[in-house]
Amino acid sequence: MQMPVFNKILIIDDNQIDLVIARAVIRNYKPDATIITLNSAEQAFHLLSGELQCNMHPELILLDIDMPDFCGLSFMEKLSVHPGFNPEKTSVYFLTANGDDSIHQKALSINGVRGLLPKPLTSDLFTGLMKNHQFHITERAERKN
Amino acid sequence: MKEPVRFLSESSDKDYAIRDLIQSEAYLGAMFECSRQGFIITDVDLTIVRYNLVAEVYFEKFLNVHLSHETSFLRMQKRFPELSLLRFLKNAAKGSMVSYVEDHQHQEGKSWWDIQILPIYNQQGDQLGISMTLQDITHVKSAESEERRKAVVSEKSKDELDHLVFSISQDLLTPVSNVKEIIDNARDLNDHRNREIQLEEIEKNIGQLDTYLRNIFDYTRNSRLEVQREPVSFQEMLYLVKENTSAVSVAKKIKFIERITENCNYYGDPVRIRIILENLISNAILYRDKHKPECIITVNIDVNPQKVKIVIADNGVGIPSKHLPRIYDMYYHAGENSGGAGLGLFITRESIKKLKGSIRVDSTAGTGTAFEITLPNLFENANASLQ
Repeated sequence: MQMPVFNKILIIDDNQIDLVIARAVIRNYKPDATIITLNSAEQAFHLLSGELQCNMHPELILLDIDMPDFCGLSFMEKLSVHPGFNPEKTSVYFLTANGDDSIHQKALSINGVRGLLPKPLTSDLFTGLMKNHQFHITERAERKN
Repeated sequence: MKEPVRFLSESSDKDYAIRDLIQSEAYLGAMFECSRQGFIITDVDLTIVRYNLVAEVYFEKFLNVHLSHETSFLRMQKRFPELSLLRFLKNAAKGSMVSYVEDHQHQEGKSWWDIQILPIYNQQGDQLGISMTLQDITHVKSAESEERRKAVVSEKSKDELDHLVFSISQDLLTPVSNVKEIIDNARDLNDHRNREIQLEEIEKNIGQLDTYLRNIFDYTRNSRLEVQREPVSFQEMLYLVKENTSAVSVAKKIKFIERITENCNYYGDPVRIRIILENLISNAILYRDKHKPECIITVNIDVNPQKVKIVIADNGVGIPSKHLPRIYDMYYHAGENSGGAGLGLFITRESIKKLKGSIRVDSTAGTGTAFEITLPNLFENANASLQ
């Protein structure tokens, strides 16, 4: 089974330590991928809307829910209605340390969100994510057949 | 019966003597030939009696003369009318001795030779000829000039050191005497209403002292330590740098916007990169514009296999253009209210120099400042060393 090719990965988190960990875990599996880390969802949206217009979409977005000013939920709400956003091409996962179920439900209900991962990101979580992603792809392929 | 025996013995003594003579002549000849010094022996008419390999090479190389037995230095006079060696040889033929050093420029560089010309006398005091020794002293000379160069450098660094020690002691004294004065006042007045202000003042002075000492530590570390090559995580680096400056940035509510884009790992010198980032970020904090509603520091880092580009931009007070050319100078203060020791940017530039990188500044007074740093990524070397 072939692992998904995440060539371009965006990690958005205002917590510096979580960024350090997520980046290190992913880099371990993806030595050649382009990894972009941002500590501000607002700036991330700014960057992303520019890149989506040029069809330079990232294949994976890991997004923290709790951020000051501009939280992960509002980021995703704005992104999901962006004309350039295609959930088939860009997989979005939320990262959260928050245990609030209602927020989780709200997060998962947004169009394009693939799942929710507890923080901090670990190797097991990331390989699980890749397998799950693979499962989605094969499932989709089977449905087409 | 006795006579023939004695005769035989006499004869064999003579044989032995001759054999010994031949043997010691062979030893001497071997020493003569194998010596690292060049030897030439001439008769009093300056005709060569004997010479060795080094001498042969010397004449071939520097004068393009092929030596042989019977070569006469007197006859060489026509070809080299100006050659001082011939003048010295003629003087030596009249009994004077000379010793001098000459230098030759050739393909492999410069070489120095120590030359001695001495008359040779027999036991009766009659001059038999001349001996000439040629010694290559290039290694001695180059060691000497290296020594001299070192002496000049150490003299220069001694001046720099004096200057540095003077300035540092001044910089250290000011906050210390301030704190002493505040404490004295606090005791005398016994006024508790001022306690908070006094503590703040002490904190400010101690903070200054702390910065000076860190700067000096970083400076000596940069000039002494070799450049390291380690994987560097800029996310981690920024975290550590902000930890060190967090007391200030949290209190002053500074907003950091950071973006790090990397398509491979970065390999470089973590200590120097931390020094560079710490200085630039603490400057951005120090020179924030208090009149603006929000103080923003933007950090953009781009890593590719060749290099890393780091841009640190703020919306602070900016640097007036007349100061820009001198901001990296040691002890240069851009303004009256500049609170630094004047070492931060100097150390930053020194560290960047050591890493073979570059720094560029773009600043407008009242609008903000942006520093752009480029450092080589030693990533390629990492792969090379693995192969």
